[in-house]
Amino acid sequence: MYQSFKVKNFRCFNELTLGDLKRVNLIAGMNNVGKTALLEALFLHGGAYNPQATFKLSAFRGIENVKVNLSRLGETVWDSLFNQFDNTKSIELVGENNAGSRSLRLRVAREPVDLKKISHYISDSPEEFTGLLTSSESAQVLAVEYKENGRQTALYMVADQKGIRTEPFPLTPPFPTFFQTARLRVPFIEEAEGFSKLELQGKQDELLRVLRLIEPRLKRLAVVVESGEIMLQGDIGSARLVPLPLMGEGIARLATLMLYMSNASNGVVLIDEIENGLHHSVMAKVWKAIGEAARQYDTQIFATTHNLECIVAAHRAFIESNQHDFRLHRLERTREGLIAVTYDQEDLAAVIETSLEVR
Amino acid sequence: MDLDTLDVIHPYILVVEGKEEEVFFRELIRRLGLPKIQIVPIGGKSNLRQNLKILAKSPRFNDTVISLGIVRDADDNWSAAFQSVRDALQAAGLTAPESQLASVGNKPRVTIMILPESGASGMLEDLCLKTVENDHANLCVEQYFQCLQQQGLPLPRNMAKARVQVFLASKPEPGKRLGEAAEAGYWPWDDLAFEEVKNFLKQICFA
Repeated sequence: MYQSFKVKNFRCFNELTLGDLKRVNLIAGMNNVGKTALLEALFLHGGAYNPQATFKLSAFRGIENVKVNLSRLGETVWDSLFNQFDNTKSIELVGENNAGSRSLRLRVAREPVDLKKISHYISDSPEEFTGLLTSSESAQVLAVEYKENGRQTALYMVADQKGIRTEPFPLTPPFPTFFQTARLRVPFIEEAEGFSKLELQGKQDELLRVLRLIEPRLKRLAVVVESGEIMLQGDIGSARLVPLPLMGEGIARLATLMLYMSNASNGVVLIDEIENGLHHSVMAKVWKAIGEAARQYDTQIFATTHNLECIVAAHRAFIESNQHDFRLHRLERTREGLIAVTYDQEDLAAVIETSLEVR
Repeated sequence: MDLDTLDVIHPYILVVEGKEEEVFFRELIRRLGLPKIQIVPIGGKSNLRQNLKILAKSPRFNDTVISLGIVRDADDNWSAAFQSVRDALQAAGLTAPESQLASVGNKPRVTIMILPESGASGMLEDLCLKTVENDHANLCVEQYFQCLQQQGLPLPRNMAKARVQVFLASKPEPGKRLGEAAEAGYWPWDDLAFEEVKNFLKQICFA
């Protein structure tokens, strides 16, 4: 579990350190201050062994195909990851936990010594990644260097006319990391697989119990194959089962979140705009369920919000649970740069008493 | 659930204990013609330490606030009250002045005023009562409490608050609270007893 996280030269962050991290962390702040970018940085750090996570970030933002012009000197397909689009600097992501420090460094490899190391990859590899349009003979290379407790690994992501691929073959990430975006729907198959895993463990009722917080009529859930499409559907007393997304955005998002958590033991679940689709009256109950599930599955949560009701509900839910393993972190752009301001239990109680703004 | 929030939006901030002080000081600031001072009622003195910390953590506080004034009652012990404000300031990572009305620090500059006046125990009510010491109605106020004693009735626990209520009962529109009485012009703003608190407010804006 992260205790602190440092981001350098990534997206809008020149440098930011987020400390006092707990089991559940809620990120607030003004528009365009970097809340989603912070989740992306955590996602990259969690998926450390797989540089293709960099392209998943584009997909999370709704950019499915990556357009790269290999003939334009200096620009690379990864430039949007770098602060101020400056790919001459290195992105550094450092997470601290009980066991020590894990750091990830991403840099565009352009020195002859780097390119020599991977020249055989560039010439020998078959085409792998189809979401890329290329237009020249040259190759771009992203070096991903990963360090944990003295152990060091380097992987290279190559973009050339054959496509994009990672060399050597990436290892399994050190722990599971899931990202629930603010708007994009999770593929039905992914959701059905998650539910099936729960069923295999006989834990499907746990999901049902949580979903009943926002749909009390829900009697059971089932994975249904209809017209070749696998989908999670629910029985709410209608003449037939109803696909989860048709019941509403809130229940569909909550189902995804719970499935992610149950499959992220010892890992991290990232949720952008957690309040989306949830009525304020159920928010405290949902937070209570999130807290319980996070403890049960030993999952760490990072979620963003704009919503004060969501923050207050979270604080109250964690007070009631007698385990205030929760922090609010506000990202704020100041004259000195981006900073993170952290609120603990006493701070949040004072915020509610004084009505002083926290977002 | 009331979710109206208090945003720090002005460069000059005055921290007061509660609603009554907020209304009183807003009126005095208006009468002095000072630039806009945002008044932040931060709750009782027992919460000052925690709530001041939260104020200093507020969004845009560091970039917005130039000057911060803190006013609170001395109650029984002026020195202890002054020290408690200093402790709260330090806990919030702010500069703590060594003495009343000494403005110190930078971003924000900090000034403390302990009421009713330097070195004296008491509260805002005592300050207001001092300004009407020579008011004819004051004789009746004292007689009222003497009468209570003669009848064998216990005196109120907070005599300053009780005296203010009895004094304000003599006014054309009785039933006003201390702050409302300020708005109604029932306190003589030109009285010398208000000089220290006026200097304090000017100090917040101009030091």
